[in-house]
Amino acid sequence: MEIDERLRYAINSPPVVHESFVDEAVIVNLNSGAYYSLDKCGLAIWNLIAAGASIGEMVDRISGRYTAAREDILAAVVELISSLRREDLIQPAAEGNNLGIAPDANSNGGEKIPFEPPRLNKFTDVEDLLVLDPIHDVDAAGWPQKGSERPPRT
Amino acid sequence: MAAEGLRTSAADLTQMTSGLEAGAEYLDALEDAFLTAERRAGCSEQFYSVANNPLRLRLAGDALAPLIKPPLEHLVSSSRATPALTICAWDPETTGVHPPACPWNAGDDGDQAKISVSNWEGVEFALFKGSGELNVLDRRRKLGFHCVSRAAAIFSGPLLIQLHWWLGELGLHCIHAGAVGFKDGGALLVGKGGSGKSTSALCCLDSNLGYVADDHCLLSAGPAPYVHSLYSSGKLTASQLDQLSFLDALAESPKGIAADKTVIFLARRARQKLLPGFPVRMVLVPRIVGGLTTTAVTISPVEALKALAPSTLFQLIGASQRDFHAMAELVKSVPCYRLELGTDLRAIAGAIERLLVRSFQ
Repeated sequence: MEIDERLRYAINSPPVVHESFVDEAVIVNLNSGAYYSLDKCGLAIWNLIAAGASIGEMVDRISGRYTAAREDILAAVVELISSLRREDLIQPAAEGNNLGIAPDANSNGGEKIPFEPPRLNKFTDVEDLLVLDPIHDVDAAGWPQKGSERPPRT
Repeated sequence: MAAEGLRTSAADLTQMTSGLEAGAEYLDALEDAFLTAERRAGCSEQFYSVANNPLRLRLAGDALAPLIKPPLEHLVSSSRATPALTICAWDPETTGVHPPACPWNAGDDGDQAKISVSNWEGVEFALFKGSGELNVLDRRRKLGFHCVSRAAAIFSGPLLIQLHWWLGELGLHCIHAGAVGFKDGGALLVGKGGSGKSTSALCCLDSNLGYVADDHCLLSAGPAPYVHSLYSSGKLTASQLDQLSFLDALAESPKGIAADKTVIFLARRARQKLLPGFPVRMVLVPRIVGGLTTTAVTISPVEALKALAPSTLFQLIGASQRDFHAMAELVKSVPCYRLELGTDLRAIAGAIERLLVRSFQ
């Protein structure tokens, strides 16, 4: 299947919150009660998604850091994006939503290192603490209509 | 709703204005309901200083007082300075006054449904359909409303949702953590329920260490993180009472609370152990391992964040990136350890004290 490398994604915030460390990202979905971690290569891809990079730009950037064939890296990026979408952590972004990719801070000192496909680790050990999933969060339309004016729930 | 693109049609503007008016009407009706409850059942008020922020609590009737006031007793202030927030609380049963109908369609999702609104025109709203518990914060009027039945009231951590909404904007984050130490610096104990966090904090009541929290406290993040006391109460399990016999002298079963609940109100029974807060010197992640002694092992900031953040964020309504970032800042700025708890519970406090003393050297 041909992959459109122009596609971009955006982090689904809110309800997704995230923090990046030196070699790991921690991601929390406040709606589902699950949280996640991404290892070093996954962290790099996650930061590129956050910066508004297209799939092609992500693959190019990762290819500059790791020793692997471009098609292998492309497959790994697409697989990770698929996992992130399945968990509702990212969503497609409008074309041209490039926010500007930050300078490459993780260039491994100029030397390429062996590529390991990124893995999204999922944790659900505290999801029972979630304070009831909302049935209705008001959106930008704001304060709701009165009684009979309310639209039917979908 | 906004039209496609950035344009907003006249019809959209009319609808949004109508929404604003409906919101203002609802808030007026809510305030009227509280004032009616006050007239019918009498009123009382108490002033508090929460991390140096003046709070006024107005109660209609006396049903909620034994549930809300004791955990906050250590924060009572004699100052009548203009409060930064006034929280109006009442219960529908004894006052006979119910809040106005929910302006949002609750649907038929059953008793477990929750309706929440985040920061619409400065208003936060959360209604638990099953219990009927209502929480509203109106930042423009500096007013909070809390309507809850006695049966559904939380007696060990009252008003948590309101305080989280209010103080979060001031850079004070409600976190799920215990806190023990000295006035010059202490440790945060973090982890989900059952990890040994509360037990570790309670052990310190019989030690040289002061006590700030066993379950929830306020974090001021940044380069010099500081933790403030929020509640001076704690729930005790039968197991904790069995293992920590000194807690017997502190435990009570408050009037009006189910007989199987045992709590401690430290402002009444052990005020000398309470600290208002301290600089955070370290984060400890307790884990029950079963050996005899308690030992500490250095862990990464990420491991500490995984223990602290999810259990905090999932208990709060309206938790945000800002809260998560504050916790990430914390674990990056202080050493983090896994506290491997031994079976000798009385030795836990000693292990924490040694870690803290070493951190001062």
